[in-house]
Amino acid sequence: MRQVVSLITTTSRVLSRLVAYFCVGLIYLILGLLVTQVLMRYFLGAPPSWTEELAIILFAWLVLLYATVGLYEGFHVAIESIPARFERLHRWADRWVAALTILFGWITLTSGIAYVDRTVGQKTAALQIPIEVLYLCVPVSGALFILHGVSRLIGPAEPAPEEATS
Amino acid sequence: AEIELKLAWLTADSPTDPYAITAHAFKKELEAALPGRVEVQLFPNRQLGDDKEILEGLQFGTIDMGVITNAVVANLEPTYQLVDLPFLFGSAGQAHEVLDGPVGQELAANLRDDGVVSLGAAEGGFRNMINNTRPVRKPEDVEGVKYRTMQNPVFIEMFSALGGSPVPMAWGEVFTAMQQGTVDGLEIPASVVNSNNYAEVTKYLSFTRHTYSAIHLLMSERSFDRLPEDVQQAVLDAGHAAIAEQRQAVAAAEADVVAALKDKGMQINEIDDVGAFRAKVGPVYERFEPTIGTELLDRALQAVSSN
Amino acid sequence: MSATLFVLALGLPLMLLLRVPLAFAIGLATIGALWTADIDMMIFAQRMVSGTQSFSLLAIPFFILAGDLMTAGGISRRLVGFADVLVRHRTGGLGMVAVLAAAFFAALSGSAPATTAAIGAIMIPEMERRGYSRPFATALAVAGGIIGPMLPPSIPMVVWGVMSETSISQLFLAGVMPGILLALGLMALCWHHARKHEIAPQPKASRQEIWAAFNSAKWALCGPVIVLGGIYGGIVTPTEAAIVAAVFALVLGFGVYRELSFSNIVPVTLGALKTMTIVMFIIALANGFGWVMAFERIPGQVTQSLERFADTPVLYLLMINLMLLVIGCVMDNLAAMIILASFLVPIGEQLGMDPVQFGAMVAINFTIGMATPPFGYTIFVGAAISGLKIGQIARPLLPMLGVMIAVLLLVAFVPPVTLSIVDLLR
Ligand code: NA
Ligand code: NA
Repeated sequence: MRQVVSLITTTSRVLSRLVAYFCVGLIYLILGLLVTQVLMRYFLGAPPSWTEELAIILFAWLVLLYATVGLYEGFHVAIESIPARFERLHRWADRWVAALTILFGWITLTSGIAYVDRTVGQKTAALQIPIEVLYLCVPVSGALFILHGVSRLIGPAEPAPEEATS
Repeated sequence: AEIELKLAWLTADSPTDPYAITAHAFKKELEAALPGRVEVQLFPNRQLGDDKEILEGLQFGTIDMGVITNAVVANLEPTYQLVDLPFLFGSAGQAHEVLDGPVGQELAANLRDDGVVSLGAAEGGFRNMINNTRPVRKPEDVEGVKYRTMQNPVFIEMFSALGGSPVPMAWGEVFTAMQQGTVDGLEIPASVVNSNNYAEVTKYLSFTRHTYSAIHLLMSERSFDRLPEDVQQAVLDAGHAAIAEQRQAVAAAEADVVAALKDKGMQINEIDDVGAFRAKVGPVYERFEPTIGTELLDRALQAVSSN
Repeated sequence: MSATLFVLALGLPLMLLLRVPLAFAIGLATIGALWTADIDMMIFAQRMVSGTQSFSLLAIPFFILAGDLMTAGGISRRLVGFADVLVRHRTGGLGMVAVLAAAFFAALSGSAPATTAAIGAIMIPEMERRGYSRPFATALAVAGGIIGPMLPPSIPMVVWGVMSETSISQLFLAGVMPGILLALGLMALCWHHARKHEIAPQPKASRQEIWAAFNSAKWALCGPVIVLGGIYGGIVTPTEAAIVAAVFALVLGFGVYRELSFSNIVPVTLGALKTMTIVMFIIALANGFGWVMAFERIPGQVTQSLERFADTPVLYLLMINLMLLVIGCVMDNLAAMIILASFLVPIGEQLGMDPVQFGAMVAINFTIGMATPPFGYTIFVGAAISGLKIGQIARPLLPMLGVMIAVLLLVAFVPPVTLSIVDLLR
């Protein structure tokens, strides 16, 4: 049992780091795309017709993926409604919050899979690539939400430490 | 009411908007046919999402009805690309004949396979080019000008074929982009130019009539199948009646629209020779023939050349 | 219908009390509402993606990234240095330096918490050393942050522009005068505070000092010219201006000031991603919440019930602003704008207000909400920098909130405050 717990918390930690660094690359990729777009329009008068579309597709991935990192690091803002001295109440509430985020992840995963499945065959407007390239960000982030939520639920009582970012 | 139908569209709820006219005409017809039994609830202004999302909503059965532009329907059901082919229809009458006839029925049957019932094609008017660089008289006038196009391959391809710079951009961002000069022009029906105040930010309107803009009155198959048979029939009838009414209203309004745009200071011109434009867009027809289907394309071409 | 409304109205506050993060609480409330209304859950996935699919919203991550790169790259420090030589010799001068520096930074940054962070980290310790109390210094950084999104560029204005299809560049301009008024009002409070507590001003800067400070800050001061000139010169859209700002910060930080390096760029970017994600994830989920409300026709009913106030416009406008201020106390400002957009837009029409003025009013109202306890991002940042509790910051913040509300009333009732600059460019 302890091994299972440790496997899950380790996977959660490693994946959240990987995703975080992936997102750093992603935002500079978007930056590069849009710089290209501005330069080509300004200097050549011929903007590429696909940069904007690709940029907002990557943006959806960026937001949802980094939101999963946020669950691991605990940086999503909440209202501090419980005074710090009520430690047991805190722990009790933490478990509930973890359980609710797992539910959130579950719905994100299942509705995302259903959405991808139902829209298969649609193409993006400019690039004419399958729409799954965009919509898959929902179930993928759903799976990561579940992983980090479970890790919070069964892992050590204190929330995962905030590393590097703060 | 016993049955509530949610009808959504993208544009404003204005008395001159072709989408809004379609929606209101349908509501009036259906509620008059089945008094007290049916209520058509209207959701203008992207309240339930943009047109791509409304169309998805029809597939899921979350939204019952929508008024949706052809290009977006074509992203779901590619044979609809036929309707958007540049310089295909010479007049609105021709377009009506094709869309109401066997070709239109075949398109509707294809769309039914995607879970969407077509009640027919209302009139968006012909799409024309407006811009701030120069009036368009011959194909060369399009060259080097940045036109915002819909995010749809037929339009992107068409402007590329004419030598322009297509800039696909979501509708919500276009007015500012036009005002700031981020794009030089766009291509929309004259009524949309007027209702969205594009005369304020645009100098030239050229009646290129490059694409007949069909706006489809659509219903979710799931919602349709849920209805009792007599209501289904009433819905179909109301759809036909609404579209006939709407086409008339839009045609009657066109002269007023042109006069209003002249009043607002737009310079308006006709193109010299549609043949020169047709010659240039040949590659667009070739590129989309495989997805539309040779047989369907030939039948449409025959229908428009026979009168 | 009533069950759905019940889930929305009861579920959301309950989850917030349990300390469910706001984004997840909004999402779960939406899920509950979709479930009770028996709507296909695929809509949840659709709205979540759709909430991010606007090119204008892409301005948000890049304005945030640009702000963080500017702080890490030494731009903020130079702006403070330049503000310092200009006003430090006045009564309350050091407080004025903080406000002026916030205004300089605001012209580069669209974000209130970023402005508070950029100015607070430098100014709070400095002001404390010169005799200001830590709570006052912190409250000033919190309030100064609000200038960030009032002066262009502005993230709340971007979001309102997207939601209401109002021109973003015109909304930016509408914030110029209110931003200046807020800065002046805060400076007046500093003057009053210093007199009351007998805080001595600093010696006046010599000409050489002023020149040296200007020289050091000159590239940083070019930033606003490049960013805003780009927008109003028709070269770039507001989103692309955010790209330009980020590139500008990179070039300055790496090439000119050499305070950015490959070793600190990754942590700085991770920090910016964190801020961006907090904001954008809430926006993405608020989209679904707003959809359910529209689907259940709630906005129409609320607007209709308010309609009878429309013949007393002054009262109506006051009431709307009060309502928005109260909502701004407890909600994320951007989420509130998205959720409420579908009934705020018709209210603006009922009142016959210019959409730009109305939009600026809504955006400024919710921006003030970032500084109102208990839920406000700039307060969170101020508390984090100073180590104070929110309650300790709240006391000295109160008169500053008074200034903000005075500016808001001017925005609501005196059209030229917002529109005179907009009209110059219309
Ligand atoms: Na700003
Ligand atoms: Na607040």
